[in-house]
Amino acid sequence: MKDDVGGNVGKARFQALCQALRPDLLRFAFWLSRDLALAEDVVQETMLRAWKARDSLKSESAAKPWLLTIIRREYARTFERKRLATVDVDELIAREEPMLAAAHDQDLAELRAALFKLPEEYREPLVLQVLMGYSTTEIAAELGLSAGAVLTRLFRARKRLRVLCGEDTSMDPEDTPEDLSKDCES
Amino acid sequence: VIECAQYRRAMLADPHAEGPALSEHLAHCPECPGYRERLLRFEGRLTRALRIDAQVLPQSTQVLRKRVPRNERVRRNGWLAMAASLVVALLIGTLWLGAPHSSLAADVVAHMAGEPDAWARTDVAVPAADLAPVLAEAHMRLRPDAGMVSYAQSCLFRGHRVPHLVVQTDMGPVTVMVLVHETVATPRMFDEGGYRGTIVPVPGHGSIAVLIKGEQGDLAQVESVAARVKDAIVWTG
Repeated sequence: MKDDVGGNVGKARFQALCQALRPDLLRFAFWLSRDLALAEDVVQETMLRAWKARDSLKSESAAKPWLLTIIRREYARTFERKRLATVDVDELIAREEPMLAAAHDQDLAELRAALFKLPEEYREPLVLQVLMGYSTTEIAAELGLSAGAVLTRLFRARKRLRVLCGEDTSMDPEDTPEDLSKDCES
Repeated sequence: VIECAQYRRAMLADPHAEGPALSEHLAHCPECPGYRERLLRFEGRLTRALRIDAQVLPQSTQVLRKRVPRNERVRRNGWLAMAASLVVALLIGTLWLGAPHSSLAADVVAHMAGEPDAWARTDVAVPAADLAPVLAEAHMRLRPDAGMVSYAQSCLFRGHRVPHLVVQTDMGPVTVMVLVHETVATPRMFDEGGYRGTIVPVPGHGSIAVLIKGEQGDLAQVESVAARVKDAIVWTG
């Protein structure tokens, strides 16, 4: 986006790009924060920061991961700035009930409530993988972890989620050593 | 050769993982194909659970607009409530004294200061799904010949929610405020605070304010835009 971002056309294109990506960015921020109002604030702030730093965006195709990185930083900054109190998950679920039950599908509502109960260290890589289509390597780079550590977190995330959702887990393997990369080498 | 536990761990980490070792195990294991199938069904539900419908997500017509954080909003609302009380008291006092209150044009101009990003020159139109509710609140629709609307917000103005639109024209962005609660007898041109414009009467529906930013703009062109927008409004109530 270095060609014409300084001009009016650049701003219009940038806005159109952000507008197109906004639903996914909001979803990501929502699952990260479990708070729709906070997610909205974080995304809006992200857009403004992104606009100011637009020169560092090499191409439009790189916009989504670039914006996701800014969202993660902005969310962390919000934590730092506001020192958000530890919250009661049931309270969070009750507050975001309209979002969680929006699909009018009891199964999905339960799964969404279960996602709320996952620790952030498991929820975040899972959202990046399932919702954003990130590969293990990309998640590892984004979160500053090894590929093995990412796979372990993803394994534990699904395993825990299945328990929370009352799935039949009798065939699920026992918990894993810290590094799953050998099992997943293919 | 990998064992069932290894295969299932790999599947739980990434149900779409592929590779020779995984395929080899799947081809020869009597139980893991069924396990994989159940896991993929669960994965489908998980994907749908994470992908919250776009219609449920909050909409925004201006992505580069400064958003007031929630805490600040609450705080501001408190101040606004206090300020509103003060304004009411002042207004009563003013009326009591019989002094003239600020002009409609001055209030329109003052409102502009709160939304500077609205003035962006752009070729991106507000999605119809965002524009329609803003217009519907004022019981109106807008025919396309009004011009491309690049900004649409429902704003609080003099105690009422009114459509605040920006239409892109040959002369650049032009702001239109539909003031169904404000009646003027005749068109009023104004040039103040760095804005030039006109407020024109709309019989039975108050008035519309149309203005441009800057002191060099051609008021005749503004009047022409005002007439065009006024004609393009379809009142629904």
